[in-house]
Amino acid sequence: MVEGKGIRKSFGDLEVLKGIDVTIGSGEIVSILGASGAGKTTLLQILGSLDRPTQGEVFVDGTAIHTLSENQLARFRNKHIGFVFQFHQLLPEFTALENCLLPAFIGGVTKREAEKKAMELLGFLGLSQRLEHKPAELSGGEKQRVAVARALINDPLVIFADEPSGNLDSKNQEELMGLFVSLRDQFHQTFVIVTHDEHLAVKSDRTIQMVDGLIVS
Amino acid sequence: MRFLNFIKTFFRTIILHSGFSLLTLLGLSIGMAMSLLVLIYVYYESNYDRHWSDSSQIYRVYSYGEIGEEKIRSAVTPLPLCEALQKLDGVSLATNLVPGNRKLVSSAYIQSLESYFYYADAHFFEVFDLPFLLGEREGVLNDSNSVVITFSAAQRLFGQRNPLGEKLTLENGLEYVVTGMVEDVPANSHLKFDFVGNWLQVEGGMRKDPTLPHAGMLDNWLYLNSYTYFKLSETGASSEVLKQLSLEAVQKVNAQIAASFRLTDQAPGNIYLNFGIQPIHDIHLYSEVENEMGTVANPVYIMIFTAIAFFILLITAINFMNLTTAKASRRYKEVAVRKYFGAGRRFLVYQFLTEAVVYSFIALFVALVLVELLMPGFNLMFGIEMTSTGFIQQPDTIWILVITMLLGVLSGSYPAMFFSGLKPHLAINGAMKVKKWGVVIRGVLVSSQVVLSICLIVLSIGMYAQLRFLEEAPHGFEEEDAIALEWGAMDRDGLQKIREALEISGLVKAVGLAEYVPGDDPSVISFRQSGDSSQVVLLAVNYVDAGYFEAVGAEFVDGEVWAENDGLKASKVVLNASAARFLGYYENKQQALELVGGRSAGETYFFNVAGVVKDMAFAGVKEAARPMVFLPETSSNRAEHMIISFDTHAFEQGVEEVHRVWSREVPDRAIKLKALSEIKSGFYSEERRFANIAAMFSVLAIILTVFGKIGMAAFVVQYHQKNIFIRSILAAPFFRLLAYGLRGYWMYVLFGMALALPLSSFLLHLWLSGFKVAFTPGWIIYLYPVLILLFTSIVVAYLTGGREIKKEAHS
Repeated sequence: MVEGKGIRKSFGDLEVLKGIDVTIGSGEIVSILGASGAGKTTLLQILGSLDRPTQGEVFVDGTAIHTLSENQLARFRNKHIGFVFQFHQLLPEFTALENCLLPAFIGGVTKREAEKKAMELLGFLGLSQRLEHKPAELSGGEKQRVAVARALINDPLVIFADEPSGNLDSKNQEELMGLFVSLRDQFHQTFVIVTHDEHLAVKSDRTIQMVDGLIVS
Repeated sequence: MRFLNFIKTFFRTIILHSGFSLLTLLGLSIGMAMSLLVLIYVYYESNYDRHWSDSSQIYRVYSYGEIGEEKIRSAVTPLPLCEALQKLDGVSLATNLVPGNRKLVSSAYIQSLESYFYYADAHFFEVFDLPFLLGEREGVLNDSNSVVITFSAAQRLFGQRNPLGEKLTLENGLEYVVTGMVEDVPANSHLKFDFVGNWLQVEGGMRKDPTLPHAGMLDNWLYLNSYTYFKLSETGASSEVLKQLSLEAVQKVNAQIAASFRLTDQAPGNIYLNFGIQPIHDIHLYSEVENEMGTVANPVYIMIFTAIAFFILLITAINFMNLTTAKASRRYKEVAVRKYFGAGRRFLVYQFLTEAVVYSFIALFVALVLVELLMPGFNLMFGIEMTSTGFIQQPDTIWILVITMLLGVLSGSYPAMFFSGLKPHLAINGAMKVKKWGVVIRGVLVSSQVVLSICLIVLSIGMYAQLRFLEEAPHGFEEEDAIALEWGAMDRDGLQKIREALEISGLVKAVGLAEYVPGDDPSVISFRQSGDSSQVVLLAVNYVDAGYFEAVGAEFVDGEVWAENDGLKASKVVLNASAARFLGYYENKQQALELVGGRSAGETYFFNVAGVVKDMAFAGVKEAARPMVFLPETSSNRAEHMIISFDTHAFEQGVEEVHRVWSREVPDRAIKLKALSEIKSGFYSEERRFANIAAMFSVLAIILTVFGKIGMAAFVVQYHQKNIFIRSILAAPFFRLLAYGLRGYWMYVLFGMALALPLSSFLLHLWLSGFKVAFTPGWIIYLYPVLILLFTSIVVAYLTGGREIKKEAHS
């Protein structure tokens, strides 16, 4: 599903990724572990098409995304990739439903279709009573579930999550991980999660350990 | 769909950041309102005489030529021209308008001194189709005694009565019957009249009695006295008309020259006269001829004002960019999330452009309300009568929408570029660094706005100071406590009665009679100096009585006023200082002046000089006083004004007394009087207008500068964000944080001030150099703008900087 070959990334003189080969299969939950500065977020940005490698190739579902133009990349990201962030990153001026609709609107999906899908998703995530609430009126766990719904709205091939539970208490952390697992089970959803929480990582199908810009296991 | 979504986002954003958004909107609205006002003014000035039907087909004929040394370019033309014009191919209708003097017009109810009585042929209202309120346009001037009057003239002479069929008697004895009432002539027309009477009645009188004044004009091609207009036929070409006209004119004028000068021994010398044509649309802005009916404008001002309008818009747009990106970091996250979910560059560009355009249209709405509110003050300042409806109902309205759209796109372009280019993964973690050049650009913007404000403030203060200087300069007459009562041509008995009644009231210091009062344009007469029969000198002439000099407070520098009644043919005169210098009076005090061409041939009039008074500034001290001769007024050279000076502190009581005496002695006539101080302030109305305009733009510049400074203050605080945060954790006091956060801000403000002071001083001196006399600007003039700018800078620093710092410190 996601494949990186010989990925190197430098910022000026500093080489952050020093030749990464990685393959993530469809329907797999993979955690990338490593200390701060190991390069895991940079790898996620590159796999998630937000940044370009200095060297190497990235394929998502067979598409060589490192060859796409800026606009093609934006379209590709809209259609096939979802993101969940450490801080929920919901837009404060929009309701839960509207936040969830955002990627669909960017992709040009009609309002009726998008709303139907969003309500299904939010319902599945237990948020049908919170559709018209703004982020400030939601709990931490609820906000993160809205963020997950937003990531799912365009039926992405893969969801990248950067420290998704970093801002949650342990109960919500458990729930979020459980949610990822059930999404994988029911919808065959692929997840790539960056975390430094070993406890969470054990629940994933596979972990990748990074040290100093290289995969060590 | 997507567009609606942008608009929704826009409103949500506005509400979320309401304080700053409202500020942005306000800045945009004020800028738009001001440039709209200026554009409406430009529109008003450039749309003179467009309200007549087929106005683009109407032309005016003007005269040009040379008589001896004198070049002629005049709006008035010979009377026979109109008839000749009517016969040319391509002319569908020709008409003329003959100006009459200011005269007393009487209805059955009241008498009124009227300045705008004109005579015309029967076709006048077919060419200039003012709406008729009463009467029918068709044949309205057919009868030789018919007159059409305007609504306001009807109000003066008939009150609420129906004027149709009413009789009007003129002081020259002519009688007219009102056959129509039209709306007042619009203010933006070069025409200015209240009465149009049929010319035939005057002509008939002249034909019967050729000794009447001006009777010679009837068939004379060298006598320039009437305005001539024509309307092109549908297939006519103005160039063809002009060609035929020139041919015709050369023939007629040459015949006339031959006929006129054969009678005298004078050689015709270099005499020629020809005619040009000008579209009436061009008269107000582009006519360069003399004897215009009203004032004409300088097209340079129109260009300057158009430039100013667009300059204001540009600054407004820059301020908008500044303000919307000043708090960029607040929107970084939103943009980053959109980018994460696949919003491309184009999508974001559209989003920000849409926002700016929506902003602009809301601002347009607010601006239109502001325009409506400011219009009366603006009209007063410019001395015009514009309305927003006249402008907004025009098809040109589309331009307002286009300009608003462009303003939005321009304003949104920088934010669009700015935001669409940011790196999402950096922005989302707040790792996006505010760039140094953002500070520099805003700094330069603030500096230049400070320079602009200071220059404008210095100029407007300088203009007011110069205005005061001019008003306080010696004018050669005492304007305090004196009035000029307009008398016109009434019988002498009434005049004497009023004079006596005033003199016994005990309020009056002096009373005098004069043909011209300050503010009038005295007529010029040729004289010969004794002992030099070849040399003819032109001198302005004012017929006055002996009491006049005391009444206006004139100061004698030599001799004294003549004794009453020296007799008509060898009389004494008083010169003003310029005339005394011009005539070499001090070298030969005994010299006599001989009037050239007295009314009846064979008689000569000689004058000796009785005294010399200081120059009286008849048109203000901006212009050099003309050499003027004061001649004793006689019953045939009627003084039309009575100058009354009151005892100190008796002015108001005295004016009341004049009103009372007037209504007792001449109850059927409206009184017309003016305080001399009012006349004097009228000399400087142009200076006052420009000072007001400069003051208005100064206020605008100060406001726009405040917006620039707000953007800058907010931005530098963000630039120092991290440092402020750390310092606030280390418990630095608020004012230390404020001082730290606004580093850079002060530098640019002070830099602007330092640059502005020499520049503004240069501009002020440049402006003052255009005056014959000018005040010397002191340092205090520069102190005010510096204080204003410092004050607003401190307030902005404290409010915006303080607010932002508190936010940053707690984030």
